[in-house]
Amino acid sequence: MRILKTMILYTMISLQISGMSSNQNIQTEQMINQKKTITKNAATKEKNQIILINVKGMVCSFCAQGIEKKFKSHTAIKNVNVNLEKSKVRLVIKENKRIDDNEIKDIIVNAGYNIDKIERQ
Amino acid sequence: MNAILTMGIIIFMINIMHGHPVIWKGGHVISTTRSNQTMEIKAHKSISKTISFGLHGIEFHDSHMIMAQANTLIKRWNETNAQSNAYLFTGMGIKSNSTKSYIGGHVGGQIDWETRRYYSQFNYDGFLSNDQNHIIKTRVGIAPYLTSYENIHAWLIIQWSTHKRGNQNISKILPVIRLFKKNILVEIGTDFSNQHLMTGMIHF
Repeated sequence: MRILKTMILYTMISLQISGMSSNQNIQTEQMINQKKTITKNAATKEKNQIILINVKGMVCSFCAQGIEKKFKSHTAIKNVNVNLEKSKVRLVIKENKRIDDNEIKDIIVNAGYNIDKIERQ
Repeated sequence: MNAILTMGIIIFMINIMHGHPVIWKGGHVISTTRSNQTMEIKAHKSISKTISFGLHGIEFHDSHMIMAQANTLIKRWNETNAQSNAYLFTGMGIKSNSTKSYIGGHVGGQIDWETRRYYSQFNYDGFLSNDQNHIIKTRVGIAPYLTSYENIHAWLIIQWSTHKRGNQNISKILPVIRLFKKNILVEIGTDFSNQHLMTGMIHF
């Protein structure tokens, strides 16, 4: 009888510990997931901060000026740099703002040029 | 002194040639060109990336024309390091001399090709009224150095042009220096004899 009581007590304690351990595991898992989400968001945010666009046909200052002017008037753009030598436009995006590739393409095409490539850093 | 004053006034007015007759949607171009044969002033607004409307004034020795003008970018070829364009110009207005006014029109076209180093352009302009003026212009140019967008760009250009009016035909070859920075362009050309050219342009 005593042995039986001991076994029951032991089982209950084991279950309790197991339950605590399980809760701890869930909490740990949740923390890991949260951390992963934060890291992912930060990476996405960072990724959208700088955009490099290769522009076809941008060979003179007048071309560059048109493109610069169009991007500067966009609410999501913090800064625009034109590199005529490499036919590249570098956009710095404002915090918590976004501009998608289609919008970038529209701006370049409406200014009279074509896009070769868009890279997000 | 008069020549310097004229040059100053022309540059101050920031004139244009057929450099970019159509620019981005909503963009404006103001320009003027002065040579021994003509003096031109143009102001255009691009309503799209292919069409611009504006006013065009041209003065000949004994008459002048004022027209409503439409410029059309027929086709643009954008390459990685080059751009070429085909434009059509049309205008309708009034031509006046000291005694009388006539209805007049303008038809013209431009084909150009440029990289950051080389530049070429062919223009035809016909001004049709009680008499006819036909102006053909061909240009080739080279940039002696390449620099960044913020700096002054320079082009050394050779221009051949001919202006036919009735039986009169004036042809000339001019070396031209073109300077531009961001949205302002200025050109000065001379044959160091009796022919000169001043032109300029602003985009905004």
